[in-house]
Amino acid sequence: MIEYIKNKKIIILLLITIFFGIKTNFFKNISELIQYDYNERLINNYGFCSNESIGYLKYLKKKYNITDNPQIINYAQAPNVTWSIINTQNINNNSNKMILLNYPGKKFKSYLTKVNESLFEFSDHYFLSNKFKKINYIEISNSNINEINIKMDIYTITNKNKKVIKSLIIKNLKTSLNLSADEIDEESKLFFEIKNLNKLKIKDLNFSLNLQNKYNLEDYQIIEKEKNCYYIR
Amino acid sequence: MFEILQIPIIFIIFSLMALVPLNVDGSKILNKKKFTFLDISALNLIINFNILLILSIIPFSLDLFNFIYLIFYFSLFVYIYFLQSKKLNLLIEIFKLSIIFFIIFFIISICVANKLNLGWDAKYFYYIKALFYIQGENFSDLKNFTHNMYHPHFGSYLWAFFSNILPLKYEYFGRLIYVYLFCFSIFYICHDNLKDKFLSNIIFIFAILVSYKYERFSGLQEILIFSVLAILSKFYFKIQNNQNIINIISIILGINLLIWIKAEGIVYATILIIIISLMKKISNNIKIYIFSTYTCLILFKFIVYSFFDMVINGQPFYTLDYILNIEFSYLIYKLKILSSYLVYYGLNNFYFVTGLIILLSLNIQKKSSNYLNTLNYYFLLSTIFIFFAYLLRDLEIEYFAKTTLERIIFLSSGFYVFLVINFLKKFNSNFLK
Repeated sequence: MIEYIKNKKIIILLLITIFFGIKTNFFKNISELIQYDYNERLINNYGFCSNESIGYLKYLKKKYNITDNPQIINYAQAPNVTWSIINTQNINNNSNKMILLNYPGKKFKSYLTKVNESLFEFSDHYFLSNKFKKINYIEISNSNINEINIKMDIYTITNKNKKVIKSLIIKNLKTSLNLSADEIDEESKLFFEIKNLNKLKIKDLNFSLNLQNKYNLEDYQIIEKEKNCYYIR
Repeated sequence: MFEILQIPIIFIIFSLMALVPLNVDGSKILNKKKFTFLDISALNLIINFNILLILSIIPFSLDLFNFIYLIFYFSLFVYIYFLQSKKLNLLIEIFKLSIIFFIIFFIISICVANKLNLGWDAKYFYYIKALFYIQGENFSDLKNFTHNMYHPHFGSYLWAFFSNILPLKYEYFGRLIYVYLFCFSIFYICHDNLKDKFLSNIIFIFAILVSYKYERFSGLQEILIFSVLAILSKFYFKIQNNQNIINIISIILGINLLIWIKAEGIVYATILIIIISLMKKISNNIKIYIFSTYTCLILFKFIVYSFFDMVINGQPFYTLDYILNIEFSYLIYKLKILSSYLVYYGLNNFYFVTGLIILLSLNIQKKSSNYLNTLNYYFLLSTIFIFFAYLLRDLEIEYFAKTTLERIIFLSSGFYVFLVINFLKKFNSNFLK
């Protein structure tokens, strides 16, 4: 052993290996591996009832022995989570149960993305298309505005085809839209264009949409609840 | 702690694949002077991966295959190394040489075990395909999975096979085979024999370090193509001086793996076959033999897919209508975007950029070598592939390039690994010979 330690080549190799370990965070990784078991590490990485909420899904699968592929709706912007509890023997069938992750309530808000000073996009439209029933109203997020008179066109773009679906005049911070999700193709991009920008005194406008959730918990039986994650039928 | 102890155990299980069925000390069919023990280990790995590929199509449960695999390979190992040849000294030498390989494998495995994050495509496709096998289904059932048609399956089968082999059946054990293959491919290139271990080991560690990042092992399949290409790059070097049938078989079996890993793998397999057909040192008879075998392998895949009523590659983004009607100005726009991403990602990939610089300097110096020609052809054909694949695809180019080009460059760079490492090892002193 002592001979090995005295060997310069071994010491150099050892130092380089330690360097490799440092560069790859080996010491942090191994301490966490000793500290946390597999499920705890899954929760540390994916969240229990946050982000992908894999911890909650695994918990439900274990507790209820889920094999019937309930539909999973995740309101957080995250990749597909079905892999965590999917039963491939039944892959193309969903049960009548559902799992709602990061449920935001009956109504929720989505901010429009500014394309330029006069054009805004509902960039979460595709992601939220299976989660909202209708757009209740559009809201100006700037709080220090007294006088408003905005002419706005709402249009969709599908395969380079533009289609105006609504024109409105905004005179209040909140303006009713009542636009059903069915009126907008889920593959479409949804834009909000200010038509009278040059006549407006206000700058840096920000808008948000108030959305009616497609899933109202009052319509379902709650099997299990953890924070804002629900297992329902 | 029990979980950590499984990592050395799975390393031993993986290593069995490198040690059997052929005795690494040379068997009757392998000449010791022409094949080092690492050459035979690489061949063993390729043979065993091909066996696993065949198993993936046979409709038996994974549990049964896992059990047979463990019993059969362990028995074979004992028979070959203890009963038949009794070469304990050799095993001790291999053990000593493998220590640094094991340490690097262990460090990366610990990272994989702790992070657990799966890549985007892995969550949507590859892991779900692996789950088919883990949950007791087989190849024919994959047609029930809508996304099966876009994604060849071998990597998913490996994932399933090895995540099911230990008493603790955690998903990430399956991904450790990717780590093993990656480490082995670099180790194989860095080491020529059992001598001069010190320099080779240092180069090995740095060679891993420059290309390592966790995402490579997040279930994405590019690491497999990279590793197979890296191993094949050394076989392609060897074949310049030795057109031994074993080298040819190793190349063909390696190419067969590429065909089943990913759609891009088929393209790279074809590129490698074209390169062989352009090699002057290989006789026409051998070329005909290789080409016929390659055609049979492709046909075999088609037959398997049609037998199980599956679509071999359902990528919907290449249509003749789109290609014929694409506007010239739009093509130029796509070319501009693609080139900028190609330069950006190319410069960020050590093996790609270093490989190209070395290749360029050798061409400028007008060094003449068959292997240099091989690399020139590879560079030319793989670059043409990248341009065609991106320009002729009906997808928004910026999004497409931003999300996939880095991985394409990475997998493509596997073939430059031998060039770069050999250059560094020999500092340009006749390293092409």
